[in-house]
Amino acid sequence: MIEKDQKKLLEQFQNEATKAAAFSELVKTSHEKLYWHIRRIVLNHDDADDILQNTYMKAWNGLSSFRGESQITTWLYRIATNKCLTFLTKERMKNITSSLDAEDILLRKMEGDAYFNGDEAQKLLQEAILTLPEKQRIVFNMRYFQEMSYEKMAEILNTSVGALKASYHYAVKKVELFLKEN
Amino acid sequence: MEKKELKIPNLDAIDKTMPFDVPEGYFDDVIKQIVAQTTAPKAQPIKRTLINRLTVAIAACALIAVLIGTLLFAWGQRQKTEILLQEDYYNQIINEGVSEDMLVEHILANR
Repeated sequence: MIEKDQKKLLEQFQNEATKAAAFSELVKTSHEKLYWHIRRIVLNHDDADDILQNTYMKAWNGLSSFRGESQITTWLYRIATNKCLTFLTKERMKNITSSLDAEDILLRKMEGDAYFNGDEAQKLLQEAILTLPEKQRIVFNMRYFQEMSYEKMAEILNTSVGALKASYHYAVKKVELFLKEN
Repeated sequence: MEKKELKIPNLDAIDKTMPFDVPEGYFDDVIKQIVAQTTAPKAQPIKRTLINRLTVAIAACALIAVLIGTLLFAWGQRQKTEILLQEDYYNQIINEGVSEDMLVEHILANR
């Protein structure tokens, strides 16, 4: 989002008369990209839909505290990523007694999802990605699929660019190894 | 300086297109849902004005006064009944031929 647009949007958020229209505009311009970011992490459509709606709910409630120190889209991505991490933790806790681990459950949910249309190779790639630790998985998805810059990723994930580069490097190695072995 | 991105044959061999899909019209519908959930005006909570608070306080005081009045009235009625019963008892004793002096003596002895 251009800085000028962001400034205008922030002004509109401060005004009760224009707040709703401005937020509606923000949803229209950001929801699709944000959905795919979430979907890449949780894999299942219904879960992604819930998280997307909760993300905007939180953003709406926190609008007054948003000071414009970062890009508004970066702020939305940060909320969404945190929501995804919370979701994954809850899924892990829910299935603590299950013999399957959270990643197996995510994979099963993805396979059973009517809105997954990938071929065998894509399924294998998702399996490989699921072998990565949660945060590394998010880094991999953001860089590999969304082709996001390290700088923007650093802002969203509150990590240094160097750490992200290292994390992505190891993630690619692990995925490669999994694909070779399978 | 950023190093050249890693190119891995296995990863490159896999189609990078989105293996996920969404229900038809999802992105149009979800905008409406999100906007309706977030920006719709919420029901206003009842404001506790000074007049409202005073009304509640007066009503509470009136209720307490009625309760105390009822209790006092009931207690007074009970006392009255007890005195009448006691008088009846003494009259009955006198009617049975016991002198008043003996009765006073009996009452004083039983105090």
